[in-house]
Amino acid sequence: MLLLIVISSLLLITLDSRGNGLVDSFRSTSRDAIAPIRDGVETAFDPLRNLASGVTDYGDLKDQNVELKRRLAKLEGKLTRNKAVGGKVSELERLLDLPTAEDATGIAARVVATAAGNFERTVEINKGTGSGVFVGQPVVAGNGLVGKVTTVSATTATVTLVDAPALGVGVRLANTGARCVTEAHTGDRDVLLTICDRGPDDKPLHACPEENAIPDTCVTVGELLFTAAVEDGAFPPDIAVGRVHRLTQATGDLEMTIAVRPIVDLDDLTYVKVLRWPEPKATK
Amino acid sequence: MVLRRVRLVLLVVTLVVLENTVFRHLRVFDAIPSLCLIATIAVAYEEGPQAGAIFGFTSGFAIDMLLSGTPVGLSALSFALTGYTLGVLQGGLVREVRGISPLLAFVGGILGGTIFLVVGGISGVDGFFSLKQVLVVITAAVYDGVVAAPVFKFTRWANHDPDRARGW
Repeated sequence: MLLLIVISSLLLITLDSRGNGLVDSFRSTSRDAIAPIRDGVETAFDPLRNLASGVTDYGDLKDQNVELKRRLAKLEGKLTRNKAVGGKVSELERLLDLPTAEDATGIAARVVATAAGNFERTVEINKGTGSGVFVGQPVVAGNGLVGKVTTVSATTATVTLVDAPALGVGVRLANTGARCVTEAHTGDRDVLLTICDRGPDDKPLHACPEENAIPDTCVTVGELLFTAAVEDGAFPPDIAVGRVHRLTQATGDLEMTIAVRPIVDLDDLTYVKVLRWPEPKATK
Repeated sequence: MVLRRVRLVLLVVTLVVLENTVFRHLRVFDAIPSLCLIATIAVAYEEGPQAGAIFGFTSGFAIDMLLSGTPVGLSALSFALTGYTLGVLQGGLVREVRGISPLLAFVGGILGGTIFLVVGGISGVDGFFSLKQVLVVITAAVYDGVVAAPVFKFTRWANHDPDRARGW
């Protein structure tokens, strides 16, 4: 009996690794079948979860509130200054015929589950092909990029998160403007930047020295990263992806290691938006 | 007999749903417990290696259906082998030991997680051979031990059939 089980399992693994359509459709049907139960349990569990986090995170929430008020004041000042240049940017974008994230309409969805087990970085959402969700569409949350739809059934879809090894995102560093590709490693919440452009000073990207830093030519911890504008890109440009979290360069390394922490808390997602991207309207 | 099978199916569905929903909010050091694996260990402990392997294959297959980044059959294989091994080990126990469920769940968690990583890594799943994953397996196994008692109880209830001899 054990031999039969082992052979069947290995056969299934081989079939699926080679990309068998039958296995995929069986998976998709199973997800649809279990979706209503999972959705119900998640909804029923909501009040309890809110109560528990309200009690356990009270101190953190107070600190967070103070920090948010401070950041709000700072951002209001920055917004006023940015308004002056914002108009010019929009005008230039129109002239260059560049599609932007605002061009893409979205489908709001609720995260109903994470991947079963400990070794996958995906979430399940409660919208599928029936709601216009298709494989390859980008997914965002309020403040940034969440990931990309990788499998879809009639009523649910699986979103591979930005910190999953299967997903590489073309990004642009806010200050230097250098473009890189993200590379995630299983189990690591930070993603690394690879294949980076040279900096504006035509040198490899380097960390800003603590004093006399010119942030336009070097990388600083906390610097924001946005999706890069690429023709026929998988993601709309200028969606916040993350912040530089760590900069390291071991002796003998030619390039610096840039670790980025995704801007969205990927472990605590509730609502997301699937962008209809690319759509004919968005290309103008 | 039929009622017992219905209860076992309900057990697997309930555990899969709980693992997917409630426990996703209860991660400890990036790990969640593998409830279906604990149920497999419970069945193996009660019924022996063959039943453990069959239940492990079935519940692992149910988990595989909800994954997307790992091949179908990987959880089925690791759960089945864990169920079989724990069933064989249980046969070596001279008498029933009370309160052994956390220890069994921990050992089974380590074994199941290791098989999952090794076979997954060999079959080409990216990033399975790393220290971080070993730490996740150990943390998940400890977590398995913590939640083992109620899962064992639930599994015992689902599997209970007074008119039936031991084994499947």
